[in-house]
Amino acid sequence: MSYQPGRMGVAEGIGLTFVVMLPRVFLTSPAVTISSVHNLAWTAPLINWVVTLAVFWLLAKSTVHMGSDLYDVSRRLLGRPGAWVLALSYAALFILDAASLLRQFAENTLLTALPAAEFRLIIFWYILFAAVLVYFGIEGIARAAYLVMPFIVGGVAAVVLLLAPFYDVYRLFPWQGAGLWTAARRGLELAGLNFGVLLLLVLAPSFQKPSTIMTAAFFGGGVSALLRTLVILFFLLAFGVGVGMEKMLPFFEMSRLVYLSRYVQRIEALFIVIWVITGLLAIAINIFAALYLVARPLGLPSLRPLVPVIAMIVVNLAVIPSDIGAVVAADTRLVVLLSAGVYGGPLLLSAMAYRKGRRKKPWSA
Amino acid sequence: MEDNSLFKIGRLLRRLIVYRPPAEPSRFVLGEGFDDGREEGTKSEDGLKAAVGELEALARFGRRLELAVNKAKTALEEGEWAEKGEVLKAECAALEKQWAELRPILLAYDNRSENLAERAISTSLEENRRIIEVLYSLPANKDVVMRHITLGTEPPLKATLFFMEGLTDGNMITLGILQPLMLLAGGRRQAGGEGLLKQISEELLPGNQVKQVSSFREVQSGVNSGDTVIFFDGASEALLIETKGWEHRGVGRPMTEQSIRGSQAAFSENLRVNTGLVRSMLRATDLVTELIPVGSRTRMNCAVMYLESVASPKLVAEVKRRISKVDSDYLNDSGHLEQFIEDRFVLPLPQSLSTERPDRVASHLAEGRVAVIVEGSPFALVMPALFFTFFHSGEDFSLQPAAANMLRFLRMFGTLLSTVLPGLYIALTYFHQEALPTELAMAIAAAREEVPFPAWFEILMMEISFELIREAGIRIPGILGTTIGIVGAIILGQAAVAARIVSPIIVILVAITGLASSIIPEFRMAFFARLSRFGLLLASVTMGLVGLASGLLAMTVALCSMKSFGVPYMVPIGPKTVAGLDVVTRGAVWRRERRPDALNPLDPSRQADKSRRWEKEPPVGEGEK
Repeated sequence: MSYQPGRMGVAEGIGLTFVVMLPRVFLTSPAVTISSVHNLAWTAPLINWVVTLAVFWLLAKSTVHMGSDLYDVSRRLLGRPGAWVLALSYAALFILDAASLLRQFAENTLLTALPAAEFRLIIFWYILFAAVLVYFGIEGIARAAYLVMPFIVGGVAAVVLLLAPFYDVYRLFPWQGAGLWTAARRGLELAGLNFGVLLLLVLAPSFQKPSTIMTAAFFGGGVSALLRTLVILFFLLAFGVGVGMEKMLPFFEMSRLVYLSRYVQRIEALFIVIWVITGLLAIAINIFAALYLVARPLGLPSLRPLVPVIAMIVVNLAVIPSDIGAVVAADTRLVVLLSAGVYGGPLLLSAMAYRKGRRKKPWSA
Repeated sequence: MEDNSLFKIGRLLRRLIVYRPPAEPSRFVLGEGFDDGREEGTKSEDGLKAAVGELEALARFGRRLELAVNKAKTALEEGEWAEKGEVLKAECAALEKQWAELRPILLAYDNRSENLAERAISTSLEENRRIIEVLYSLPANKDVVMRHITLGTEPPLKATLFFMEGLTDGNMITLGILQPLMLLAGGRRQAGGEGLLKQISEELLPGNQVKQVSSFREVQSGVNSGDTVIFFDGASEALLIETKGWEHRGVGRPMTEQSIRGSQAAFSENLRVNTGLVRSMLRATDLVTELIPVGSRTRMNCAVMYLESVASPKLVAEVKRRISKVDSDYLNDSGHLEQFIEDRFVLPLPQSLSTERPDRVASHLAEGRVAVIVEGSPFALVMPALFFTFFHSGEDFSLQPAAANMLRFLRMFGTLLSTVLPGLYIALTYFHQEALPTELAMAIAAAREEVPFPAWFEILMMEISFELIREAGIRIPGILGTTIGIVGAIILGQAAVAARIVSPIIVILVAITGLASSIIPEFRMAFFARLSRFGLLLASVTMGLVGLASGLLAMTVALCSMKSFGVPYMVPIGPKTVAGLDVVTRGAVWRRERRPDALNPLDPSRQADKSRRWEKEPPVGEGEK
């Protein structure tokens, strides 16, 4: 597997963006958002998505004409040392994201699906399959992501629809929740949930055209943000803020609540398939992005030899937090860190591109 | 620096750690070293000197001959033949004498050549016979017939026929070669060389395909394919006459791809009959059939068929490149060839469609694919083949879309069942019992109450039994095989339940799984479903639905990263391309305006946008009112 990721189109871009931005909807993230924003929590994904899209558009607009990936763009705008720092920083963020997702999915597997299983086996299982997916390459992952996307959307939509009897609109009131300012601030802080969208710029050359990148970001990220919004909104409708804050896994609790008849009940197990697929794909995509960002500055011709190394690093990072509480706290901090990644790098590069453009103008005039 | 113990230990460690390729690669022959049985490679100096001397003598002769020819030419051109004729005749006599002396040297060089097949045909009939005898192990080899004749020409001409008994048509040889040569050849013939062969092939041989060949490689290729070769004394070329006529099965009905509607013809073992069948169903002028011989020893012909105005030239070139670069001595089947030319896959999935139906080959060729038919194989390969192609059957387009789509959904559902069902059962009953309705969970528990094995072991045992019955049913000849299959399955299942070794629900599950795998039209795809079932079962036993989901995802990603002859395997959904209304479902035939985009056809349009043009016209008789 060469570091070149191959040729991808809008569909692959949508699949990648959608899957890499979605997994936290199945984890504790919605409950964390509700605990800080209360009844207005459902606006947070929309706010952070709009802001992320604006930053992404700014960066894409100012750099995508260069026809290169994030590393090349950084090298042109910041010089080689700057590009090294930026690429390795983002690689570290992708690795941390992968580690956090790995630990959370492993913990939740233990909590919900396999309570008697050995924790190390679960971690090993997840990282093994994620490494296998990375081994197949990002093209295959992206196409598979696009293939499974309708099933994920359909699954989430099915849960949301099947819970209709439990919804109570009054649970959304008082509609201002913890306050509009809090909602806006928290929305901006949670931009890290959309960190995955930067992947499109990391792998920009394989998407060939700027319009492909923008379309993929808009639709892939948009559907993902919409699903996150809907899950929080309907979770609030079903449980309310008080109970909602206490639930560790909101989506799992929603699927547990589904009851149609004595033959269609307790279907939460079937949704395990959806979140396992989403989680594994997201971990694999993060690992691939990290590998790519390591391989580019180092000029490595191939990524495959590094797959086991990065996988081991991810596992080691994932097992650092002592318990599930520490994991959730670490993930909350990581999302803020990822938000810094969403704002910091793109704004810096956009500013540099703007400055360079201005400098060139008198010469070109 | 002094070579102390530390350095020595360092070197020792380095020798241990650093990989070095073995100096002598291991060989196949047991118990022999590198030099065993090999002759000394050096020649003595005397031998070299002698060889140089011989070569110099031949070169001198060549120069002298050239000089004589030039002298004769000049004498003829300047009209001095009367004066110089005698001198030149004497020169020629001297040259003939010298040639007689030198010819043994030349023959010795020829004989020293290790590869007889690469030799050119000699002007000496005796020499040609000798080479044929060596090449075909005569007289031990009784399949080979060598017939010596003398043509009644003026002057008489000696010739030798050579053909393979059983591959040739005896009547054709007698009436089409021997009779004209021995009875009708009465006139004055040309002295030799090209003129002689041309005269014989144009005036005496009535065969429809006669060609001149100059090397023993061509002779072997023709004779091994059923042609007859004739060597003539004094000619440095031979005539190869088409006399193919071996016994072969006629055009029968498809055995493995039966259909209710559509063509009922199937390929046979004869290459030319097979290409003819395809041509009879696709009567296009630009349907090209190229023959590429494969196998250094057997030279089996592979026919590469494609529509020149439709198929992507790159695809055709790639298929031809792969076939022509197969370096193997023997090829006996299209399945054999397929493994030589396919990409290396992670999953054991077919990369080309194997079909015994010429109508399917014709329809795929019309879409822009390439077909390969191997001599002696009743199955053609169509490439590239994509994942969804394997769920289509030959009659899909002979049925109404609703019926065809229902069957296709059934096949896809069958594939899913066949792959997932045992794993899903284990995952649900072992790890996620809450997902089952209470009554069902209790029924399963009651059925398993007296079974002493875990459920995964029951499934494994029954699956293996099922595979045994299936394999035995195929191997046991005739109707007995089917009977044993049915009786074996019923008795085995019933007995296993009665003996409380397995629960009834497992028997039902395995039976459904087995039936479902039989619904997949392509045997190799069905085999993949059977194999992956065991993998998913193992994943489910270990991790329940998490394992099942992981396994399915890994399979999907693997499928999405595969290619068949450069075309992504999951086209047209991964990546998305224009499908031509024929993926999981198929559209109405009159709406399929475009060929599949992924094949990059030269002509993307299959038919007009309004292919039912009669709808635009008034019905017959309406205009007359």
